[in-house]
Amino acid sequence: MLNYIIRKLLSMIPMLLIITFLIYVGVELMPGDVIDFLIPMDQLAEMTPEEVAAFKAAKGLDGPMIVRYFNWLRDICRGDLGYSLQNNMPVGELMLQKLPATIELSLAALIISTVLGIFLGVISALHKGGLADNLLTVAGMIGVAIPQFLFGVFCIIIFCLNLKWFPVGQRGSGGLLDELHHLFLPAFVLGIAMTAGVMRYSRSSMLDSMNRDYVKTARAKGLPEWKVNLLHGFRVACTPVMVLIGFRLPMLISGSIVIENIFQWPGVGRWFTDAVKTQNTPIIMSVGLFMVLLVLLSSLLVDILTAVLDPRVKLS
Amino acid sequence: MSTINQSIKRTALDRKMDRIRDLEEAGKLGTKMTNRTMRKLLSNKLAVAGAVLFVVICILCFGAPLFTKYSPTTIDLRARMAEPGGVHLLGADQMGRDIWARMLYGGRISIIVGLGSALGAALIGVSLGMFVGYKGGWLDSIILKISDVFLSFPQMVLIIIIVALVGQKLENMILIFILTGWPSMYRMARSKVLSLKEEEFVQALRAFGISDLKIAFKHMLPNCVGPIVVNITLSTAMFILQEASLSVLGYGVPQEIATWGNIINVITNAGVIRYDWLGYWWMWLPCAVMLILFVLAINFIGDGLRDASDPTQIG
Amino acid sequence: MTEKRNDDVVLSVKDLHVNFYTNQRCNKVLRGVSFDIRRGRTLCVVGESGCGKSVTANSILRLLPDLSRIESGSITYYKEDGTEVRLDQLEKNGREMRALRGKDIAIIFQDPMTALNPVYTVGYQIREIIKEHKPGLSRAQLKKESIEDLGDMGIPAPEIRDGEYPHQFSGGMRQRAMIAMGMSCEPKILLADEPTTALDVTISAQIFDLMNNLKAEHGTAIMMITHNMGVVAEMADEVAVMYMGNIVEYGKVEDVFANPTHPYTKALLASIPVLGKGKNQQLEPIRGVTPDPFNRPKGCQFCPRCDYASFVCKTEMPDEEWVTEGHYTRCFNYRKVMADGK
Repeated sequence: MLNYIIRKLLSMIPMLLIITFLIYVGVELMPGDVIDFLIPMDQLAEMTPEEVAAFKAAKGLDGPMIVRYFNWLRDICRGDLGYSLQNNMPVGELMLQKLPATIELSLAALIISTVLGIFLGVISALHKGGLADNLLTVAGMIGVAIPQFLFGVFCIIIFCLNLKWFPVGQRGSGGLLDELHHLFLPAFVLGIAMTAGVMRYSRSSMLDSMNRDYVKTARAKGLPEWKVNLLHGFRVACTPVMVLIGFRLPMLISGSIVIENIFQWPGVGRWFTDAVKTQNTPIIMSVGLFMVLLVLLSSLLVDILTAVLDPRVKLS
Repeated sequence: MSTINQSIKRTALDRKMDRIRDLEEAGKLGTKMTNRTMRKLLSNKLAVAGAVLFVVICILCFGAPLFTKYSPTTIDLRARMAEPGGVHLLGADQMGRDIWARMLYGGRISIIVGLGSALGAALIGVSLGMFVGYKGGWLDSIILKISDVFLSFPQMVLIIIIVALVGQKLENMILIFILTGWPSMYRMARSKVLSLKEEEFVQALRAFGISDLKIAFKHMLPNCVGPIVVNITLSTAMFILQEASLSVLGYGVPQEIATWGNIINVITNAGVIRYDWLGYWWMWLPCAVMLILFVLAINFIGDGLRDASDPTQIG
Repeated sequence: MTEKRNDDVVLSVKDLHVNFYTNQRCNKVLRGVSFDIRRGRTLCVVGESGCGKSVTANSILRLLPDLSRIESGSITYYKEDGTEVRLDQLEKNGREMRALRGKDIAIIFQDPMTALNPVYTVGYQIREIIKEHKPGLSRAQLKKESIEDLGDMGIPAPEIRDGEYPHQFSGGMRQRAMIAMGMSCEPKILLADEPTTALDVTISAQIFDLMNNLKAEHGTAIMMITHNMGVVAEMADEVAVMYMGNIVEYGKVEDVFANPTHPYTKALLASIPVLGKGKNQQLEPIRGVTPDPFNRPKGCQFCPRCDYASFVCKTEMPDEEWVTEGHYTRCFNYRKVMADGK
């Protein structure tokens, strides 16, 4: 197991190199000169070319691209993510400020969608063809059909502006209760598409499992229905659901970019969109690296989880 | 004929069974001879409703001039913020452009972007998956690695970076969606091909010396049509949703072109909600409803197709 | 059926009708099935696939799928203390039915790969049934029992095998584990639904030995479902031949094999090769095909394929008729069939 994990982690390195290089090339090729975003227009007009060159050198913006890429890579390995081109703040430090908010939001959304999705999916499967099943199926479809930002807007109109149950946007700042109060709505909105997906998948996975012979064996043993459903039907059904959740994690991150904007959540996603607008290379690179790393790690996690959940799977 | 044991409580299911039994005994239930897939699709009420909705919205959008006399881009400052019900059926926006016309013409663009991207992604992904997946070898492992690279990005991150790179243009939008959408199509087709490769009919074709190209596209492709069609419909829905999300973040189709995403976008500014605009509901809500209905319709169809094309499901 | 109740009878099925309601159609799978299962004896139910053999076994344990039900008839289980339980009237997955499942009546399924849950160890799956029916045993006791059960079924190194998963077992070993599970609570009745169909010949011979030992040692009543006449000859004390939802002939195996009274039985016996007769023996396949269950013949179900069919066969289903004591048939012309000899 440990062997496998180490091997997997090592195999990620070339992947990360390729991907970061691609992002770097991409960011370099973006139209416009970074300088335009860094120095106000009227000031720039008064600067001599020498001054501009000196400014560029100070910011590490001169030299051929490939050199700058490897410089950046070297710094990363030392734990130095560079400085924001906008305000000279170290990117690592800024990242640490933004990261908790995003992790908190994504984790909450993940928990909501996993728990709710699996629960509703199993209920739906056990009452196949019944009223609850039909209602949940249609609700799930609607859940997938609404763009996340619109769902966010609807929720804000209903729960924040009209019912005034939740505060509008922003992250909580006083005590756990306030934090949760601010967290719930964005996390719920972020998780809803995923919930619908997990629900549908749990339903079909559960139905498939409940039609297998071992479920009949379990009944023939005289086990009560809840044990048959849970220990036999669900236990086997949950492996593919876990795999799906693992593979949908990138979707959650994509969603968090939109949701963080709508809810003015001070996280990495919003920071990223702002950085792209101002061509703030060190930030785009760091966030890109972080997101890709997250995706690769979650796929590793899926592998490990499957091996733990299903004894037939051998990690090799 | 027989009576059911009275001691067991009778449920709705029992009554339904009684009804079927009586019909069967009267000889009124016979085997229907129509195509099984069609029959299943038609018996799925949601799929039929989805198809009807899909057709209606498509007719409205592509036949837009028949349903509105306004142009989506004509600015009429006297009609700024006009409420619905007047000369403008659904009112006008902040520049006095007719909302109903914008919705219909915008729908054209949104549908073309969604469907075109899905078809493009399917064309590239499926042909690569079919042929290269079947041939195997170094080309297969290279393309697999490339798709790995694409799939390692959260899609939105990748799209935003590429949009910033190549600029916001309608054609670029479709190309970007195809570029980010093909890897999952490729994976789906490839895994299907790998399992088909082991089937005896393919082994037999190889033994006969049929060319690889012919085996891949003439004999294996028809066996994958079900999942491919399902994937295309669901991707269409996904791309339409993504177009809308990108508009909100300011990375979508250029603002001056009417699309569903751009119309709804009046309520946000660079991702932040403009609360004071929410009150002008006619400017965004009808279009939002139309978008949701259209995506819902596609999902209903895709779902129905999935159920109908899956021979392992009885019913 | 007017047979006096024998003290050895542990389970009696009378005139059982079962319908399936899938695809908005009604399929009358069992159309009046009657038989007894006796202590220490093996009843073999034989017939082609789709004739209702497995449905019969599943009805006894009330394991029929959701879209099906017992329409009429009775299934009576005679407990050791003399009380009678009407299994057909119990709630499907209710407490009383569950108390009998696994403890009094156990079942072994055809394919041991799919019948064992892939994510639990074999030992756990055996302990699960013991725990359910003998509550209060400690972990160590349970473990000891499951290992013993596996050892009893001739599985080598049961201590190690106990902690292994089904995919680590070979087909024969899996079926042994399945039987160990079935026998772990020493049931009075063992229903075996084609237990050796998925196994090769030598392994199935071992499994049969195992079952015969159980019968001899514990006096277990066995109902064995098979489509293989060879298995019947080897295992059965009584045999029930099924065709399209009816038992067409029932009796002691010697009687039925010596004097087949139903054309279908006769045809079945004529269609199996006999070892030692050489390769030139005349095997006669049964002509025609099994009718569509939704489009059944009006009278005797076998009529369209029968060489003895007379006019009455076309319109009426023959009743069960006693040939000799304990041997009945459903054929109007059974005397003629008998007179024809083998």
